[in-house]
Amino acid sequence: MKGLLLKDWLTIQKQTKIYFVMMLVFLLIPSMFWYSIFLGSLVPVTVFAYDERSGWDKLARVMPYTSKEVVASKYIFGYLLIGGSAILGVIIQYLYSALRILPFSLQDGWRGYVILVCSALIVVAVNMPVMFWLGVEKMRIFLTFFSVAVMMIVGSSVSFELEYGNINFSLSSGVILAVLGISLVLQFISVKISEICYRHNMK
Amino acid sequence: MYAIEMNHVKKTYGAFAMNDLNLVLPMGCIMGLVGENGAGKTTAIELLMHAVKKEEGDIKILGVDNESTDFLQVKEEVGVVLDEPYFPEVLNAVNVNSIMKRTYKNWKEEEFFAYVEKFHIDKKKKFKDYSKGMKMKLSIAAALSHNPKLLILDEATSGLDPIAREELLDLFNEFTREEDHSVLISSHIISDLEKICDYVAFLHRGTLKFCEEKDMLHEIYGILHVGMKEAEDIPKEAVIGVRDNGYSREMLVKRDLMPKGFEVERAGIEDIILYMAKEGA
Repeated sequence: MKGLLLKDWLTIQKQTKIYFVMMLVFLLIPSMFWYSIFLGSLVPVTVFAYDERSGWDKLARVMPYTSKEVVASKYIFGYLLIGGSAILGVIIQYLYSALRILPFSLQDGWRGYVILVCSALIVVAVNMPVMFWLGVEKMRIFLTFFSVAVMMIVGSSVSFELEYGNINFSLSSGVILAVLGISLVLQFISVKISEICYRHNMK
Repeated sequence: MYAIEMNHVKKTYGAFAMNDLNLVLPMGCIMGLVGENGAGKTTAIELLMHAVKKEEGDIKILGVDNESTDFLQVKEEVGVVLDEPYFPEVLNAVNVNSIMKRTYKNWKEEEFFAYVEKFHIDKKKKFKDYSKGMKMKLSIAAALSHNPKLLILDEATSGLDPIAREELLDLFNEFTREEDHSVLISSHIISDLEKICDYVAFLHRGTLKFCEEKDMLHEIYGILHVGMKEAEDIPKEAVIGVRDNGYSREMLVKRDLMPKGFEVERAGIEDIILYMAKEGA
């Protein structure tokens, strides 16, 4: 599976450097760093599109990879980007805090991060089976619409305390943990559906 | 043990049907898979690698059922070149090496770069900037660099100039010097196959017309040139195909069914295939 992850990384890194530039720019802007986490959830869509265009998906089927590995690699790639953005986001916020640009405390801001990461994970959980089922080309409109819709819902619920550099959601810790649990269960279900779709697409 | 065994394999795609495909490739041999566009060559290769599902029949590669869990291990020992070189276009040969190193347990980095050098492939050039021939050569280099026992090549030499083709054919011949190494190669260029193949399989519209030793084909079939009147004396069961030019007839015949006294010439593989395809049309 390392080969698949490396292929995705090399492809996306060479093909769409602009993605990473955008992610970095968003991470550096305190009120916009959460966009970067969402962009992480959209990168697998782009990787899928490139796979379809180059025909890599056909090649992968004759290589020593199981269906599970092919499916898992796409999820893991998405998780790494979402997680990487979130961690980098926290580090940058701490740096701002250390440089006395903006105060930041993860103890206060963790709720916001959990909600953002969970929302991005939900985007992954919904998009992946759709891509494994019908491909990116046919479902581009749905994938874009769904991802933007989730971003808008989250964006409208978020209130930024720029003076503290934190993101606030007016939700209790219990609700936030429930959202985390639901998004994790969704991942499990999504992976299983994607595996079925991938195998079904073996004509 | 056979390198490839396909028994009564069936596969349908809408109007296309591959029925009762039986194909056996002994170890240490090269088999050429011939057929017109849409005959089912690529489908047969996809079926072999379990990249598409068969509807009926059995397929074994290197003695292992290709639907069993053990087939994953067998894939390590099969070098495949598909009809198109499906590497992402932004990658170069160095990237391909890095990916394959993490894909195949037996990946031989030095061997891969030796092939890259031999094929004059620019290591740093992006895949999209390669010519079709270069792309195919890179795919072949990748297929050869993980110590495969079986090479499955789908139109691997098409798009290459005659010199490069000759070079590759020598390479495939060299590959089968080891007795447990085998090659299945599909191609439109029958002259290439005639040079290197031990066996020839001919697919026509999803049906296997023959799968025979190349030398046996020359023994079984022959070409006969006769006048129109003489042609009437030839038993119908001996005639596989006829080409009429108005004054005389050229026929593909089965030698053993021919009456004595007729001079039957040697039939090339291309002749045999063309006559059969014409009659089966």
